[in-house]
Amino acid sequence: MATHAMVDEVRLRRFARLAAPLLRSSTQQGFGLQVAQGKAGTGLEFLDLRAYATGEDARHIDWRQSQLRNQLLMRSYRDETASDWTICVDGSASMQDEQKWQRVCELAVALAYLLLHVGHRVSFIVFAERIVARIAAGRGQRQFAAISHELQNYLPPASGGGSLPGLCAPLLHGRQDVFLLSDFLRADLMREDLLQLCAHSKSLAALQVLARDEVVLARRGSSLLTDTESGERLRLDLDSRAVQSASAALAAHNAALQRVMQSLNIHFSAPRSGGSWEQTLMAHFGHR
Amino acid sequence: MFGLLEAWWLLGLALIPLVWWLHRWQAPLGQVRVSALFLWQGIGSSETHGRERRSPDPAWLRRAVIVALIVAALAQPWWSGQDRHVTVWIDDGPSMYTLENRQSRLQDGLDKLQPLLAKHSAEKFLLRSVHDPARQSTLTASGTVDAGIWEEPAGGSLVFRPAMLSSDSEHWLLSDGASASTRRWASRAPFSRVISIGTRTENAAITRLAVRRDAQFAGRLAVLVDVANRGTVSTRRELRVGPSPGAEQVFNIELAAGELQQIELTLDTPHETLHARLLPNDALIIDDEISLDLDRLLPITAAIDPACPAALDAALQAHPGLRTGSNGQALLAIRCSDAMRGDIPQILFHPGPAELLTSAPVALPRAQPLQDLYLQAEWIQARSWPRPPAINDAVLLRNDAGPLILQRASTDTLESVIDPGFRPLTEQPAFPVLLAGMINTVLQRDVLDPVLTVQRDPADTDIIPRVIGTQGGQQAALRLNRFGVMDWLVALALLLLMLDAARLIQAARGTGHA
Repeated sequence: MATHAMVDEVRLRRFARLAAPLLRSSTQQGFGLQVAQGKAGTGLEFLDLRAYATGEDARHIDWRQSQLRNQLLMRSYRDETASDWTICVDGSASMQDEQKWQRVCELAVALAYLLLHVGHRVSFIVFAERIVARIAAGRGQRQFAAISHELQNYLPPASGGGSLPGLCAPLLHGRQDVFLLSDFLRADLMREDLLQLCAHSKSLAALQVLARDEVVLARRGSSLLTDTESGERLRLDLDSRAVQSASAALAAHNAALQRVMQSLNIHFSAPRSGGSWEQTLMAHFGHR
Repeated sequence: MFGLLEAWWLLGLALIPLVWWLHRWQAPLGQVRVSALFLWQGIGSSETHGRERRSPDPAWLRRAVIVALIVAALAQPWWSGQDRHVTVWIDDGPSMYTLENRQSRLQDGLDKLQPLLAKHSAEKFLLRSVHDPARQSTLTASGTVDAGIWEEPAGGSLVFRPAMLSSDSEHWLLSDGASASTRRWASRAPFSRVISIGTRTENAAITRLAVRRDAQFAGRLAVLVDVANRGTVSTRRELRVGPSPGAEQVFNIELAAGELQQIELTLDTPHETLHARLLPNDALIIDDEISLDLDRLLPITAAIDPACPAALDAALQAHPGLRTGSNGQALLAIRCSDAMRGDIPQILFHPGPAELLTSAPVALPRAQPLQDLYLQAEWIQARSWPRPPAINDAVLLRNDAGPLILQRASTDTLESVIDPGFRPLTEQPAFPVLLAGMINTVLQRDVLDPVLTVQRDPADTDIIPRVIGTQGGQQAALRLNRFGVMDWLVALALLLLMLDAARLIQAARGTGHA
């Protein structure tokens, strides 16, 4: 697969090699499991050619194509356990924080790489108060490039709109495993949207991405806080007491979100900010 | 008691609404965009898309208080919990007895004080004379206590230094300002209020009456009267001088403004009292009259020792201030022997053999009446002292050989060793002068030619009212006498300013702005 500007391909390959067993393990245990139809007993079906990575089984090197393209290429095969995945990314204004959106992009790219690496068919949706981008299901390098390209070109709006992951539900047809990336910062915990997604998906995994300074604001003193999505304003004296109160509210919100996810049987993780995207995804898949 | 020295500064309180209005134009609040506003709900107050009317910065209240404190301080408030009385200094000089509307200026001023007392929160007004420390009374709402003490002008000068005015009382001054010395005094005194009175300006006054024996005509008196016009326009008056209303000499005089005229006259017979008066009376009556007691012009009875030489007796008889009498009536005894001892003042010429002086006698400085005497040695024949002069005796005349005239210590006796019958001396004009000097010395007054005078300070006849400038004395008085609230107000305002500045700095740090 081609290198993506957001993420170093070497890191992606290393991550995919390490995470693939965890992903298979996770899917066999409950989510994302879909047996390829008509391929039973055949083991692996040729899927694509990809660049050789150190340590890979030399038996799968396609010597003929490698000679023609002057590059060591591996034959990848469609896994018999491969299934359809949809990566739903929250592209609303609440995600416009640069560091936050960067992390979402890294995670989405890495996740797409991983899923495509192990042979899954991946579709991609960016939602806000509407579906703002969509890439139909596909495999291979082209699909990864399309997803990467879409992420690279998209920037959440500065303000307005909303986060409505439920809009993705009608596009799922009930057979996909869904991976939802969002900050989940909605007072109603997105319960209705999550219910819709659960109803229209085979399985649903969710990963919360928050900005490092979601409530720890640099400013002090009298301030006018504006919600990036609703535009609602709140005037307050920003001091340590206010920040503490908001931090407590965020903690309470996340705790409630955790309970909702558990009740809906959604594989949910809310990694603490500071770790790398590899750690975040490894923790998510290994946490189950 | 509370008051304001510069109450008009309170108009500055009108700035407070301006302060409030200006704080509506506060700098826009720091805008912070957050992903989830609901996390902050319950901490601040919501605004609906900025349409809600923006209230002023709460700091306006603190700054309004600062403005109010500064304005109040500029108004110079004062507070006095103890000063419950006012000392009114009464200018009781002569001009204050000028008649204004049928009563004196002073009484007019006291009447003006009554309503002020009713308005003032002081419990009482203590009235004190600026000239006489013992002259004081109390003014209450019902009138003046012991008002009689103000019926006549006080004599003397200003006895209180401005700095001596009590600091535990509020001081007022009641004056017409006619006296220049009073005006100067008041300008340095801490008066919080000056009650000025008086409108009349015209006054003619008898400023001096002087009498002496007429040198040319025995038994007659020479009289001098000074009449001054202290007003602003010329005036015509009638001057009457005499011992009684029926025996007066009348002079019609016309006085220009500010003019002083001297009227000279002689009176035929000596009297006990001489009066001078101006008619008609003007606004200040007390200086239209003047009286002089003539007792001291009457001759003194002297008892002369029969043993005295005839020349001495003749010289004493010729003395215009002496008349001879018996020893019982006499106030002075002239002795030439050891007889006629008594308690009255005496001049003793020691008897005995005499010798011519070898040097001229000289009067010592203490012998003032003898200072102008010129005596030659060959005129005088002196005897020896029967009792040597003591060191405490006062020598009045002496030559190289010793004292000639002396006064024994602690006595009224003047002793002399000069021979009063020695013709070279008695034929000299200096002889009666020597005797007159000795008589004046022993009686300690001028018996030969006394001049009796009574006069008024011309300044006491000024009645033109003038403004008394206290030159900030009111403020000085209140600063001295009262607990100043202003300092505390300024201190509080500064404290609030510092607090405000600290909060501004804190807010600037919080927002990252300098």
